[in-house]
Amino acid sequence: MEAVRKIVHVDMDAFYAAVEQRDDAALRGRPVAVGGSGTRGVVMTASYEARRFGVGSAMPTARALRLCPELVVVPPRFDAYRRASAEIHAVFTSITDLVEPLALDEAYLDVTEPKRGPASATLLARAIKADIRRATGLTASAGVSTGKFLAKVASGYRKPDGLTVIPPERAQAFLDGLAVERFHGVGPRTAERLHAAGLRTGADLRGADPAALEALLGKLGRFLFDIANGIDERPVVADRPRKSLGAETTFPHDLHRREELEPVLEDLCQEVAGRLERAGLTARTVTVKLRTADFKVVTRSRTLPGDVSDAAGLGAVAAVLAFEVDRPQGAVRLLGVTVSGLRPRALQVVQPTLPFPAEPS
Amino acid sequence: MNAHVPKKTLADTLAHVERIIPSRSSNPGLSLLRIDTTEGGIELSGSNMDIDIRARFPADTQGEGSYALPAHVFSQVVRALPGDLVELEFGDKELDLSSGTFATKLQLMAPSSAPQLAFTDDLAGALDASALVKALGSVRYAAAVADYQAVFRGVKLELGATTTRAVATDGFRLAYYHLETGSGIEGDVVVPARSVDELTRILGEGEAQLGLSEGQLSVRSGGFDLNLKLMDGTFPDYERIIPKTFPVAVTIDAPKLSEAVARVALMADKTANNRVDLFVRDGVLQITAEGSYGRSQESLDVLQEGSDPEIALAYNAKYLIDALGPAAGDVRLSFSGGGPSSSPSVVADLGDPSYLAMVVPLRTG
Repeated sequence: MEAVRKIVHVDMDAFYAAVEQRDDAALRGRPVAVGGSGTRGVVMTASYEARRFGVGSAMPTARALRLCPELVVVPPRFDAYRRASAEIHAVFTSITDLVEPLALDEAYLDVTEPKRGPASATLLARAIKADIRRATGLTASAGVSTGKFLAKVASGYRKPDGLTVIPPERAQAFLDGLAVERFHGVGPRTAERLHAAGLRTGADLRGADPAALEALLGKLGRFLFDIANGIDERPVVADRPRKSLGAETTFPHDLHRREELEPVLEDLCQEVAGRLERAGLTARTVTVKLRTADFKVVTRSRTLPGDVSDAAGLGAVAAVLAFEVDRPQGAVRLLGVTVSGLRPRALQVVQPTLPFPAEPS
Repeated sequence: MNAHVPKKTLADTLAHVERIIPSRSSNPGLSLLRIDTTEGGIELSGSNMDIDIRARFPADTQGEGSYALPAHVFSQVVRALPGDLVELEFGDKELDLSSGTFATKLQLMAPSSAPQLAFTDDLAGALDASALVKALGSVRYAAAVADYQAVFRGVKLELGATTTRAVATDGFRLAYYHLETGSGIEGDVVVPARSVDELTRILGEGEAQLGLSEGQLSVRSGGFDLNLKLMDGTFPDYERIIPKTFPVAVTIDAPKLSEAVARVALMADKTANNRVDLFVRDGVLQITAEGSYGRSQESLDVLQEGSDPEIALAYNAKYLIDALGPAAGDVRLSFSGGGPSSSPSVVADLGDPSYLAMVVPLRTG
């Protein structure tokens, strides 16, 4: 049998709100929500002060303000969060290369063989928390166990600034006592179906017939059975840096005219720009792919002098590639836009453009 | 018909025309040079679709005629001629060309196979040629290179009643050069930057006559006629975005600053916007750069003005050096924001107030 793994799950405490409170002393100690303030605004993260009033993530801002009239709603500053996230990631990679980020504020680490620090995973987790605090001034909660699931449950066990360890010998007892709702992949609907089958705890899942669970929930059923039995071999997959990202679309019928293709190209650039934004990246190279009705595939690339990330910037280059570089004749069946030469935004300086008015004079 | 011309006259004139005529083209007629002989003169003409050019020079001619032949072959032959004088004898099918010890027969094409060009005499405007060259040459650097930048690949000429201005921008920096003189014709036109390059090569001393017609600017100067195709599109209202107030401004000799920036920028990271940092405090401008090979810094004394005691900004070193290029003496560099703000900085030439440039600093924080 393999040696027991040591997995740490680190989750920043009220990350976006904590960054705001760190950067603006006037927000400290006050209920703060990061999110949209308009009538359709939604809370992305609430500070612990706001959570005491019942304000939570994904709640409409209007409702949050009714619960907590004192609430300060600030718009998100993703650049600041990305910078903090990069600093946190640097702490992780100083301990191990086996880091799997789940979001800007959350990651799994496999510390079975750490690069530095104590061999004890508990002491390592404490060191990680301290290093994060030193580097960013922010607090994190950490969970330590033998697999990803238990590590994640553990990190959420006591927040903020918590550290919970579930050692191998206590793992089964811990799992047995866990409500099914706490299991990964179990939402309200799945929970209802499990309850209807008389399954309420980890112990129930462990004792259930795996075939029946699979019949009830498909692949999730098998997964839950394994997890409840302490079988969680999912590896921590280090996030390989993305080389490219893109979007493409196949047309229900072939398109001939530039006027038909242009809006499609704009939509694709919009989508790629959105993905770049969410991933916090910029691109250096734009590639357009065309498949003609006779299944000839043509790609055209352009590497730019500077980074682009916005839809307009991508669109201008993509249009030249799609329509002005010797394009094969005939109808087009598929159009795609891919960007590569990706770099994180937080770690670079940007050459902004002159602030021309939107409409030409 | 035949003609005698000094080799130098023919070679120099031909060089200007040949530069424009494409050596290869999907339209084979476009690579032809047209030669027209008139009483006492020769005309050479050609086109690259964006520019039509005709050059006239006096020559000892007998008889009139029109001919066409491949421009680049003819140019190569003329450049290589051994004598000081060239003898041209045009037949129906061939050109007999001799010079010194050398003689050749060049095949002629029908003049109708060369582009049919029209050069207007309706040239209502005029500007001093060297002033126009100065204006265009001062802003040319700021025009965009990339083909997706549309109208920014041109230089805008604002032909006013009493003023003339050349403007160029690639969206990151902008330069204009302002002449306090009208040309006699009015209108805003955008000339492709490559055509501007050819125009400034050809313009010499004296006057440049100008004519404006649909989609075309015509220029006549020193024996040359040019038709410059204009670009579609308009420039945005750049006047509105020139900052008016500056927390910090410094005055310094432009070449001195430019050399210092270039020196420090040797350490800058070319793949990260070629960044140099400027820091102004207590009348000292400190320039620093840091890259994979090391760090550099240089401090220059400056005359510092403004409401703020200090400012820190970062620039693409090339943009700063380009903007300083046209200024021969002191410039005032006015900073309107730094760090996360990206309000343009302004370079004003104190020796020649006609020139102004804007550069957007890098956003760093």
